[in-house]
Amino acid sequence: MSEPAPAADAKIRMRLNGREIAADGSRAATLADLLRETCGLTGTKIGCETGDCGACVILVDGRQALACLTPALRADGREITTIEQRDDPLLERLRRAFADHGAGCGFCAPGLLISSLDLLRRAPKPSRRRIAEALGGIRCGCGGALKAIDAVEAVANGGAEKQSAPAGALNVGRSMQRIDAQRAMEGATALGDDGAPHDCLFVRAIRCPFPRAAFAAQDIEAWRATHPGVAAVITAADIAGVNLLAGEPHARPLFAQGEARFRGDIVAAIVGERDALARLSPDDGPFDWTPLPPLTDAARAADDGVRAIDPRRSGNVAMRAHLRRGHVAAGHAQGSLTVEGEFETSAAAFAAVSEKGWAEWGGDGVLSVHVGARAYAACRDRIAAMLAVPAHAVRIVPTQRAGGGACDPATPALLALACAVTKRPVRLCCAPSESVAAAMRRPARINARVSAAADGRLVAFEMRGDFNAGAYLPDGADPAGLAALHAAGPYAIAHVRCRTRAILTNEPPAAAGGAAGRIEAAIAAETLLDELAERIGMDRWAFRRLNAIGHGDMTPTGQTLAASAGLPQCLDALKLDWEQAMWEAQMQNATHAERYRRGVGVACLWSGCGALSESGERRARLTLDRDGRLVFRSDVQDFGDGALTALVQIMADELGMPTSAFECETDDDTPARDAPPHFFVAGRAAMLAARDMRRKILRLANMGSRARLSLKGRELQAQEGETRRSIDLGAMTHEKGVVFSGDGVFSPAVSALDWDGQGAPFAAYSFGAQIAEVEVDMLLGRVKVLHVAAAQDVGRAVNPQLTEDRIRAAVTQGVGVALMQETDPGHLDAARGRIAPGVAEAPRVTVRLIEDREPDGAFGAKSLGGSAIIATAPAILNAIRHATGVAARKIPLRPDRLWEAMRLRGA
Amino acid sequence: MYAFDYIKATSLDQAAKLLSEKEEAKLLAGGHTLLPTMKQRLAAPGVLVDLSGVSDLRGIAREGDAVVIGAMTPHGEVATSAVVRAAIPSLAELASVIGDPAVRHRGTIGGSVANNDPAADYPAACLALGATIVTNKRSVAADDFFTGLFETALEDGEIVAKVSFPIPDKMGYAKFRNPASRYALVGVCVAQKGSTARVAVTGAGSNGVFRWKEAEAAFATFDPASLEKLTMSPAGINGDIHADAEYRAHLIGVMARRATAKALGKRL
Ligand SMILES: Cc1cc2nc3c(=O)[nH]c(=O)nc-3n(C[C@H](O)[C@H](O)[C@H](O)COP(=O)(O)OP(=O)(O)OC[C@H]3O[C@@H](n4cnc5c(N)ncnc54)[C@H](O)[C@@H]3O)c2cc1C
Ligand code: FES
Ligand code: FES
Repeated sequence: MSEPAPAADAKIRMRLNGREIAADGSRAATLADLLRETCGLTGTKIGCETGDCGACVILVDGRQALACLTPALRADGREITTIEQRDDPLLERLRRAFADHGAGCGFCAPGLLISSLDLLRRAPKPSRRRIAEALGGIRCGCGGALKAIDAVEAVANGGAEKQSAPAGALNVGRSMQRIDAQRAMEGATALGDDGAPHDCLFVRAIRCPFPRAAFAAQDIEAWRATHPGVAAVITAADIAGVNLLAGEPHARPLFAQGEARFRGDIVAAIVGERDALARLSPDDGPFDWTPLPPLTDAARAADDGVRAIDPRRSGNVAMRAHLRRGHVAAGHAQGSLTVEGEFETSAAAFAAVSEKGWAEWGGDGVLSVHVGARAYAACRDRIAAMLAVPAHAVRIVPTQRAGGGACDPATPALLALACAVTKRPVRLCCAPSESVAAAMRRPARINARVSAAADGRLVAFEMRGDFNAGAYLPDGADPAGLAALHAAGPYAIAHVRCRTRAILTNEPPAAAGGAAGRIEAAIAAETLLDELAERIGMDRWAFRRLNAIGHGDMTPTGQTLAASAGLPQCLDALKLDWEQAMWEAQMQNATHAERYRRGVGVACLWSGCGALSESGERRARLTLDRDGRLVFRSDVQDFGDGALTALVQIMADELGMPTSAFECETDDDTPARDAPPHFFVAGRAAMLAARDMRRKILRLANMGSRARLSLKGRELQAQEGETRRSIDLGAMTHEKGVVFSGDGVFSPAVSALDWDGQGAPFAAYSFGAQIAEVEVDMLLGRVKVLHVAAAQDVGRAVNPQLTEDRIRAAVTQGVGVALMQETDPGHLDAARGRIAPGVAEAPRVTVRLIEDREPDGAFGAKSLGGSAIIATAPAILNAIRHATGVAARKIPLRPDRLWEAMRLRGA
Repeated sequence: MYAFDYIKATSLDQAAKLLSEKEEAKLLAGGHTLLPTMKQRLAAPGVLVDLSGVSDLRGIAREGDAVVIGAMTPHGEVATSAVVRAAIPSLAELASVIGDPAVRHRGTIGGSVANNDPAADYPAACLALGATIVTNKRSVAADDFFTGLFETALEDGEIVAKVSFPIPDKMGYAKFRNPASRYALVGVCVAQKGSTARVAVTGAGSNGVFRWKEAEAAFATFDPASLEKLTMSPAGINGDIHADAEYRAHLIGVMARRATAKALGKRL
């Protein structure tokens, strides 16, 4: 018997998408590596790398396999099918159907497609349930998987392909495909480090293995010498400029100063060959750690005289927000009934993807960093400040981040620094567990008290909230401040007082975004409203309808809602759903066994459009160059929500050109802002840019305002009635190739808040109401969310399909918030703790779009619908209370918590 | 993750030899546990000895009063095997609720029992059925095989070759799935053969899979009602971010009754 050959000289012969190939497998560990790194096929996307997200599904000998968990050499002699397969008729039909149904943002779409292919080959006519089961292993964050079920069903039934509205009709209000749908279905969406060159070095962070520790560098050179493949160890001493990841002086540094403040805090970085780095543990490196006693509980950290997490501060209360309207004590006294409660929410990681990205020096001396940064202009400026170079020497190229959302703020900084120090292109090396530290919602504790008069009118609302901010304040987000402003809900209440604090602890810092603050506040308020309605003896829907704010009403910050306040319409749209659900629940509970009980809950939401008191301008720019390229430049990124598609629809109508004429790029000249622009603001700026360009074109063509424009290569045509003019763009004078440009600038009308939190913090608000129907297993405490009806006032649904999908995805996430999402910050390897329901568990969602037009928005639009996540958890918790009598106080309401609470009630 | 040395073994003997000769060598079966732990750097073997080329490790056969499953048989094959469905249908059902389709195509029974994850499904079936784990060196009774969290009686260089499941009169498995991972939050396997019944619990024990002897003794007759009065103490039961110990203890009772009902072809 011959000795088997080790991997070093291993040639892998396989049939890849129908072609025989031989690949060098010596540097590939997994089939994912072999396909992506060796063969250059980056259509197979990588999310978690540990088998949990299902994005990387491929076929090996016609059977599903996770590429991330299949050893590369196992491919030898096999037939491999990936998304790059182009001559399978069934796969092509699936591709088209997926694009038509708007299935996915390009992250797990390839995995969904391949899984569906496998299913339909085995079972050409699967039931819906079977489809959901087959796709159930794929954890999709953008709602793509839900649509995939429809798409697969359509293909299986051989149904007619979905017809999009005929071209030429107006684009706003039309459910057109995402502009990147085709690419997404080919696996061509650039995610993470998909575009990185082959000769990259890798950088990895050295992370603190304790919740708090002092650290000291050993002999770094000696360590490096004993670690072949390590090119450099980078420490704070290598930072020429400012060691900060955000603008504020107390912000999180890239490399911890003095002591590491949370488990996962970065103290230095190692750059080197991939293999060398991949063998190291996150805390490996030339450092000695001395664990110190951590402070993790926010309530304790806020006490007087407790050690300050940030030694430059006195105390740990990093931010306070305050809102006062009327006299809350007097308000309570007026009320005939008062309820109160204390609520506790948990830390939750909401992404199951590992961080990715890359950076390189361009020939023009510009350092470009390819990442899914949250606010890329701010990111660019911080990196420039860190490297002590001018801002124009750094460029952020946004790539989509697997599963949506934005990257850890440390990611672009690590990449840029490593690239600057080594002068080589660099990629990130990051173990799956490391990324969890960046994607966290932090725990909060909220006390609230609400009073109502005997006729059901709310008279007083009071809340105090403590938000555990983690070790550093989040960049560009303020959950505590947002909670204070939104807590009293979208209700007319004369007496309001809200006080919240953001408290520093030795926990990982919160990630920005994800409606943090608003969700927690809504859970408290909406739960108490239900209890109040019941005590008053009023229908819970009617109670909300009575108190809902609408046109002309005043918000708790003293702002009068002049227009676009569609909460009453949302509630009215759900009235029948409510009555029917209540009736059904009653019938079920009366006629069925005690084991399963039905419950129905309702909750409302509102959410300011844009960042808190975001004043100042947002810009968008549209250019038409001499080659006939029409390019939209802005600081908008598509995080899987289809924002760019909707913006293109707006511009197409304003400019009078088809959507297919547009390309989207980022604008290197955008001034830095802490948060990405809200769709409301971005939409308006884009519309103004298109309007400006149209005006210039018509003036030059000397045509009237009704002229229609079209573009054929370099020829721009304008036509009005019988008159037709054509402009040869190639022959026009231009500046840097640009013949026409359009600039849009929009400053939302907001005002700073006064000492009592009074003012106009947002120029527009979106509103929504939801009804949840649940079935509770009384023996096991398990909750099944049967149906959610969601009405959402988005001003104007620019793309109804995208908006509905966004709301569905948000509701699905909301189920996770209510019942599942909880992460143990002490165990960041807890892949098994990251939770959002998979397609098989996702509830049925009915969306009712309300379009109460926002005069400041583009075509009346103010949102894409993502804020729907805020109402889902409270609606579900209220439904559970309806079914069981258990009022949730600790969230998520896991089965064990519900079961124990039911037992206590029974006892 | 890093590129490792990889050797595809062609026989059990050769695999065993490689395992003892090569430093830091580890067996590779489906890789669905090993690769994630390597990526998390919880394990860093230098050499992987792949068992997928050892043909006699794969397959399912009925041998007298037992169903014998080769170590490299993937879960999906057990789930759909005509032999298993005929002899021990609920073992096929257990295999069909492991993970998701991709996991079932690759994960193997040998890897599962050798790994002894405290939330894995097969160990419960092994204990309840009184299986024998056959290695390249010896045969070990399931009762002696699973020794703790991720711990087994396997010695260095020892390889699971097959698992032999005596065919019971009746068997039922009830699993409360963790909604996130699809592993068992609690799984209870109940088997009856002649006058004895065995009850095994996975997902709950702070020391891994275990037999619930009180329940076994409580079966005056083999039906769910016999377990009605029994309560499981939360002492020794695991609590974590998915569920606390009290609740898991409660689930064990419910799942045990449900598994018994299933064994009798009833629903509970
Ligand atoms: C997303 C996901 C979900 C999952 N869900 C479940 C679930 O619901 N229930 C469940 O039970 N499991 C689940 N698993 C685990 C899965 O079944 C694993 O595949 C299995 O536990 C290990 O089998 P393997 O063949 O992949 O082993 P490997 O990962 O290859 O090996 C595991 C360990 O056993 C050793 N080993 C392997 N074969 C042998 C042998 N013949 N002799 C001695 N040692 C050996 C290896 O050296 C290694 O240490 C899940 C896994 C994933 C990725
Ligand atoms: S399952 Fe392979 S990348 Fe997530
Ligand atoms: S396709 Fe699943 S995250 Fe977008």
